[in-house]
Amino acid sequence: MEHIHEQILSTLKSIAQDKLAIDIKDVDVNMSVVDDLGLNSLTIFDFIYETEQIFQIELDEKSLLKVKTVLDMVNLIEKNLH
Amino acid sequence: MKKLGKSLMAFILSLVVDLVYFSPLFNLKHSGNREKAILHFIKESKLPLKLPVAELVCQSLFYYRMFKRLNMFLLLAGVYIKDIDIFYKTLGRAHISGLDILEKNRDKSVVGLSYHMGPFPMIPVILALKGFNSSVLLRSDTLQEQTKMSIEKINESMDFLARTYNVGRVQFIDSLATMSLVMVRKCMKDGEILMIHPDTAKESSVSSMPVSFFNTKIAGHLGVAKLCRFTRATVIPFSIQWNAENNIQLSIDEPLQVSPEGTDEEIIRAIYGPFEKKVAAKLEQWIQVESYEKFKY
Repeated sequence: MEHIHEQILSTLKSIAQDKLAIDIKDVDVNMSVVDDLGLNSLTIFDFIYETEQIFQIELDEKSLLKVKTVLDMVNLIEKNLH
Repeated sequence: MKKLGKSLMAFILSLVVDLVYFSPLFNLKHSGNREKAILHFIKESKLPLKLPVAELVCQSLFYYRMFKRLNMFLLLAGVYIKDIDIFYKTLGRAHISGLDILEKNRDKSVVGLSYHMGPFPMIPVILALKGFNSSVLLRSDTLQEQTKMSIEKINESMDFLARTYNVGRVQFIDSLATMSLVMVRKCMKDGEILMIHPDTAKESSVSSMPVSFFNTKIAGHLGVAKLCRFTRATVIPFSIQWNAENNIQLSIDEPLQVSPEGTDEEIIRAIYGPFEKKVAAKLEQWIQVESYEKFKY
């Protein structure tokens, strides 16, 4: 489980870095997506879209609205991969 | 229980309002028009909470008159247009063209593009009366400033109308909310038309890019482009205009040629391109013409 989490987290970091030009070297899974990573309505939307494209999943909006931290996002993606 | 209590209060208030209306002590200037008289009464009243009272009065009229169209008119009259007579008569005489275009796109994600021209707030109301659900993306601070009501309060009222009178639903989504575009995507997936008025970005920022407009540049919203790309939405232009007093025309045009494969910039240009032509054709109907300087990039 931890291995999958690490893989997902690594992919999310790549997306943030490559697609959104966000420097996230020190990203911690407990960081808030909005307050700590500084994502706004546009970058969050971009981030979600790129994530869905790369993982080939469609994330449910109700679940997305509950995402607060990076870990929430990792867990949501993992749930959709199964 | 809360809803029952509110309904009961509304009904009692309607009886009180009736007594006031017929009371010789209360000399109403608009004696031939009950609704106008009530709104006049509210405006002149010294009650500390005017707008919740207005809403309750509107709801009380629902129960008293049982006219579903009147409910919408009164409520929206309180939010957007104070002269209820004009509002009521105008909506009743709206000419609509292109409804078949909406019907054809009923099962698709639709972005409804309109500008601040003519009585644009009536567009979602007219659509609701025709059974279409819509969401309107706008800034909550602007809405609050203009209507003195919170976005939550307005949405609660709109939901009440839709459920009670079996008409389409209108809901407002705060564009300032971080997850606003996620909420919008959900609404579009649910078959709601997303109404946007992209001609008034208040600041040029990372969320916008310059687009050409009458020999200058204004801010084009990038969020609109992303929505079109990510949802592969059909972009349908709406335009509404005053033809004469109490006479409006809502035109629904064929979808714009917007490719979801395009870049944000290409989509922005495809969306804003027709905008200048529409405004140029009826400049006097563009309500932003006096504040145009504010929206330059």
